[in-house]
Amino acid sequence: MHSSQNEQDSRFYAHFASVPLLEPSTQQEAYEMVRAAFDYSEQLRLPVAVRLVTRLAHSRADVRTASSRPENPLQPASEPSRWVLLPVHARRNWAELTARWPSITAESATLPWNRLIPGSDRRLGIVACGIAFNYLQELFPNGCPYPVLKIGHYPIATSILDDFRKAADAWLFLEEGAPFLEAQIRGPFSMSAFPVHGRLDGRLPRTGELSPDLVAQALELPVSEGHPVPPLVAPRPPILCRGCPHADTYDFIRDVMAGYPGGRIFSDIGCYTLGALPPYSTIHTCVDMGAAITMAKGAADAGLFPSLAVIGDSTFAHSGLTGLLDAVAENSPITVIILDNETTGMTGGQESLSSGRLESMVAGLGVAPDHLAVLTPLPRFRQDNAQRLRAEIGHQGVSVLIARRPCIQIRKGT
Amino acid sequence: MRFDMIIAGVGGQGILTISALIGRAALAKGWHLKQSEVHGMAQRGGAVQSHLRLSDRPIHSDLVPRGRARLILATEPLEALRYLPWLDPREGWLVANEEPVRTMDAYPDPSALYAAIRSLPRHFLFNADALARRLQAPRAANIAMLGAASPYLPFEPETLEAALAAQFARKGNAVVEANQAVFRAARQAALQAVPSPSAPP
Repeated sequence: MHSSQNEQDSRFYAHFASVPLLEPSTQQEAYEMVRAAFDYSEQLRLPVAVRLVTRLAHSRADVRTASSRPENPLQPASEPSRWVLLPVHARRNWAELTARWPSITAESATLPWNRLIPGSDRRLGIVACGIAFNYLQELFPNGCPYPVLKIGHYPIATSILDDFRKAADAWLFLEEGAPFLEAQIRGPFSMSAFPVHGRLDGRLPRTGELSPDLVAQALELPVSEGHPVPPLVAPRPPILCRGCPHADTYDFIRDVMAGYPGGRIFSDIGCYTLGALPPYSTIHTCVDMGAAITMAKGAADAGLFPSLAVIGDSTFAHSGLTGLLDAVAENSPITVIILDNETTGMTGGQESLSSGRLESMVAGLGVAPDHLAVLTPLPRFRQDNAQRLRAEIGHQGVSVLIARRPCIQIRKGT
Repeated sequence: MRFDMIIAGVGGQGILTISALIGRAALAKGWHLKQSEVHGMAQRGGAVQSHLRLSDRPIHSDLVPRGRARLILATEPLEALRYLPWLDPREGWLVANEEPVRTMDAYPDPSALYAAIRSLPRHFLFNADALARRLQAPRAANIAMLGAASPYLPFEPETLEAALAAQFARKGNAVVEANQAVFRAARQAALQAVPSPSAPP
């Protein structure tokens, strides 16, 4: 369960970029690994990634802290060839990095984060990556009978994998996110050199977070159950707050768009993405920050009419300006509605960088003053707002309507 | 000592504050704790659950395994029932608020929810919002829930009251005292309704 997209597995990015990655299993390890990663990075003169999975990012625990260190003196880079990515430098840097990669890989055997824990039952060896190690320990509080390879550092030295190969006759991979290691060890063949289990053979679900119960099932251990959920328990999808300005904006947009069944409303990332769900059912897309405007422009250029974009004020400040400039430059017939609640509502009310300067930002990008207006999304202005939107849809160019009313949560807080 | 619980409710009901208060109390005891919340969009009225684990020994999993929660503390009656598979079938208690939060059309009949809660062997159902309103602290319904659940938690009430004082210190004495009054009244209501809950280990 995540707030927007599927959880991505950052081990692919570290692999792709050829940088080491540390993967903590606990809050304490996360604390220690971040310190270690900075040291390791300075030693290697390479970035070092630290992987946080959803469960670790959304949890708290007691952590033993170490004493803080003085800040490093500022040392501006003195070798432009490392920082100016001209092809001549980039080619050389890449050749150097790939030449160092075997020794970086071998070195992981000398660092403490990958650890073979012996076990007497060699029928199964368990490769436990990051947080999955906790679930294994939860299930075997007095020690796991199987040999375990606890993974917290990538790339993994071949010597470690060879040793573990000798310790067990089959492997079970416990990985949060993607079957990253499992797929590498299994390879592209239908039969692996030796039995490999995990997310790819159905021992664990292919998608979704791990849990102590899923790991228990993968190990054929009993799973306890509480009481059944009574059938009357209905799902509770999130909704916009009572009195939310976005709800009033969606009301007048729907009034207008009822007359244009072929039109589309491209939206963006924020509380207002809930406009896709009943009772609003107003918007048609949400992809990434700023895509409301660029997708509306692309659709309008391809002949879709009317093409509307709905974007929040802080999303607009973050990633909407470039797309709007592009639409102005090409006079694309789109109507952009900026939902200005004067804050970053979804993440808890941080300052929005466009507050107090939104009109001048939009005008500065070249939107004509006649087609830039501020509306107040309140029920008593519903008809007036709809009328203005209808007029702007008729305009053969870029219009921007700013629907401005403060977030109800922020008002409550003050 | 080992105590697993789930706090359930609707976004905006102060569930993370309850978690933080129990976390403070655990740290005051020198215990280990793990707290993990599962939510979609935090402020948007969806279902929110917090897994909270306390122990005098290191805790491994951030999530409570099914059938292992000694307590489900629910700030809303529909949410009280959503996580029952996590409730320990032998000794788990459900402490639930009666006041429904109707965020959807298909909200069940509350009397059916109350009946389902009362069908559990160990439960305490009461109206935390009404108690908080009666004590002129309408925003402290979450603290009322903490008070109502306190007989089932592995803490002396003084430890939880000290956590309240620390949590609300920067809002001033009046806020601390109002919250402590709500806490005590709710605890009293729970003790009167269910005279002798099994003492935690």
